[in-house]
Amino acid sequence: MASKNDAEKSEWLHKILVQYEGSLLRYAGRLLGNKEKAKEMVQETFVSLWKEDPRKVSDRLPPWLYRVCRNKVLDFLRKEKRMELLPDPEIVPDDPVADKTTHLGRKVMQFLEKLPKNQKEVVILKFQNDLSYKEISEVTGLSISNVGYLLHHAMSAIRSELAL
Amino acid sequence: MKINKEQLTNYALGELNQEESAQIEKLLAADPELKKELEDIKRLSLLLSQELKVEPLPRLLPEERKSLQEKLVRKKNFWVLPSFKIGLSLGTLALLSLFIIRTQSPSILIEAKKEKEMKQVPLVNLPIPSDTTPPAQEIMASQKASYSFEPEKDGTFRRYGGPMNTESYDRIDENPYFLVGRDPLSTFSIDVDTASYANVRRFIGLGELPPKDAVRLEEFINYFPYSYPAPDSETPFSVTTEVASSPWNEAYRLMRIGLKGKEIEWNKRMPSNLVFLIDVSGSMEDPNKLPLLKKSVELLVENLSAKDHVAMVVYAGASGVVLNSTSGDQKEKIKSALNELSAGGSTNGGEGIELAYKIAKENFISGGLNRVILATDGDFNVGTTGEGDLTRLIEEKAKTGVFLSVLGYGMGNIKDSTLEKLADKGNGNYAYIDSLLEAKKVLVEEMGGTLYTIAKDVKIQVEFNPATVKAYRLVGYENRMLRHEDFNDDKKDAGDIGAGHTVTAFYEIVPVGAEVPVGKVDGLKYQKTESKQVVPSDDLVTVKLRYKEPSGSTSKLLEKVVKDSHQSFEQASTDFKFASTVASFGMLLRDSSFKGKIGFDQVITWAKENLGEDRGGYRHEFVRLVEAAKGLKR
Repeated sequence: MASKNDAEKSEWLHKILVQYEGSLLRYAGRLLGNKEKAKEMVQETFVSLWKEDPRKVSDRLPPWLYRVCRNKVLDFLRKEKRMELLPDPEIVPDDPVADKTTHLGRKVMQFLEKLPKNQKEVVILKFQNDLSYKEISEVTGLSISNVGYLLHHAMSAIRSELAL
Repeated sequence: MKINKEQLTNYALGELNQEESAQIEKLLAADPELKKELEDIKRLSLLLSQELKVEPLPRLLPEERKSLQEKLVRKKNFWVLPSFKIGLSLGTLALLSLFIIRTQSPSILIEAKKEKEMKQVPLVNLPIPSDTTPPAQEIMASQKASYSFEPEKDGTFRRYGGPMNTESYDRIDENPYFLVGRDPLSTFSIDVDTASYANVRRFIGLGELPPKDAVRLEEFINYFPYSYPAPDSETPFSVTTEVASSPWNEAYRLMRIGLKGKEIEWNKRMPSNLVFLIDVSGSMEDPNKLPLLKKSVELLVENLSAKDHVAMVVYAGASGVVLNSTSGDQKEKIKSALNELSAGGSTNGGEGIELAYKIAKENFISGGLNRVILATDGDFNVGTTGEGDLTRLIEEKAKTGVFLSVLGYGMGNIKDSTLEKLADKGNGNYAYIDSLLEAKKVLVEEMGGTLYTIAKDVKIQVEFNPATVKAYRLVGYENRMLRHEDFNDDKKDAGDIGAGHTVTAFYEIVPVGAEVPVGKVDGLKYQKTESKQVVPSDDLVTVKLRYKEPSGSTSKLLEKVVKDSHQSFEQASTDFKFASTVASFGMLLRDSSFKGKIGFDQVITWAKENLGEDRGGYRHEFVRLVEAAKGLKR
């Protein structure tokens, strides 16, 4: 029988699912370079969340979710004997509209793909997912000062490349 | 001391403690080069955040959710969903998810009610006020007149962004304090526009502070979604109020009035007849104009289905139909027509707009959504028709059920004042699209609000209680002020509210016993103010709202009494604090005389403390925007 606690927990999980599934799918999709696989990883992440005590994870929720999701991706890659996170992005067919758009934002995004993978990942966690250094350190296992170092170098590289 | 550049990045990203920040600030004060570098870093942060957030947010499909649910059941626990959620997740989630991103309580999506059900709204009958107009408000209403192109004191014209810039903004004089003894009523129209915030963001992104008149506080506040409760089934929107200490002056109170329009379930929406009126004049060639426009319309088209119809009219030297009304499931046909658009020629908007209305009328869906969407960089040369004729035309068409929305693109040419007026007259909204991220917000996430009007001519009238309130001022809404008698006059047009929209207004209130910051006026010789009869009450105010159903012509009335809960600013809700922080930012950019001791650092601190859930990341982006603005000089 479903107890009141289960109903509450279910409600809790559903709320988190609606709020975070998009950003987790996007993140896992980038790590793997595969959107379908990303869906499995995110589902697994929520299965893990279901086993947790809400009181214990609630106040560190975003880093918890990204860390668990990242670990699922790493486990999967290990099984596949493929160790590389963040493979090159899928090749998108030429977009006649985008080609004419040579604005700055597009250039920045193109250059981001050329950065070392660890730099690229902290940039994504910082600017796409709004995590703090401390949270990024929890997700990736890097030290807080290392996160700052990588972000600084990524941003300096973009600035010197594009003369910003 | 030599600076470690890594520390500068950490500082720009808000990762240093107080002591470290103070050290950096000392160095910054002494080194203009370093300061410039800091601004560059902040601008790059803003750019990275905007570009990365444009990337689509995928969703689990209904069957994938189901398989997740099964996995959880196997974990010997029950995945118990309230029944309405199951209904949603099986049938409609894929489409709905686009809207869910922004709603606090995604499951409570209320279906549009039919006119006859709406008649049960409990109404309070109020006597029509006598025909007297308090002097102060009269003057304010007349300030609606346009001040654009007015020369400065030194005889020059206002110019921004270099000599080729022809942007124009209406002058805004902030609403002053009014004494309750003389002006106990305050009346205004709601406004759901958000263009001002996006436009200001564009200025700051370019390393420039915006002209003061480009900052409209109500559009700043209303740019962000707030989690007001969904309305009950009887009314199209809910009304929420909250009172706390004013962040700008501790002795004062700040009252928030929040409206939330009901959500429309996407696959149960009414059929739509959309006519895009697209400016293809030479000035639209820039990458952030026509190419961005094509991309953003494509985003919208993705979400349409067979029950929608899209037509496209272009205007430049001559106007023409490039796509006859086409069913929304023929996506390729619509997209190829879009892709063939190219810019060239001069602009004559007057002819195009008539053609667009003609097509809208030919394909009119009775009981559906009929809307012309004007997309332009604002060089709306009306040709033989003057601006007055044009607004009259739009107003008339709105009465026949064809509404107008305006999408502003690009820079250097924006006729902000004209575009806002056109949308206002056309029962529509005006959004400024500065990036694909903004296009996604306006045309995908908030599409319901952009296209589906759920109540029109929404007016607010607040009566202040002289026993508790000495004076008040309305924050923003300067060009939305109404005369008091307009409140009950159903012929007077006002703002509209779309599905899922939230609208927020603040009053800063001087309570009885506090000092009033207005010039001293002599006591009256022929009237004794004290002799006025006062009904004893500890109410703060009574808020009255009038609105019409989208196709109705008589208004309905809602009434709400507000009492002061005496909470401090710190005790106020997250949304209350965030919204007033956004207003503070606007007041700083306007260099408002009401800003008190607030500075950019305080704004950043408050914003960071009140990020809430921040779906879509708009509040985080706000923090980056304030950081970037902080270093800029006028």
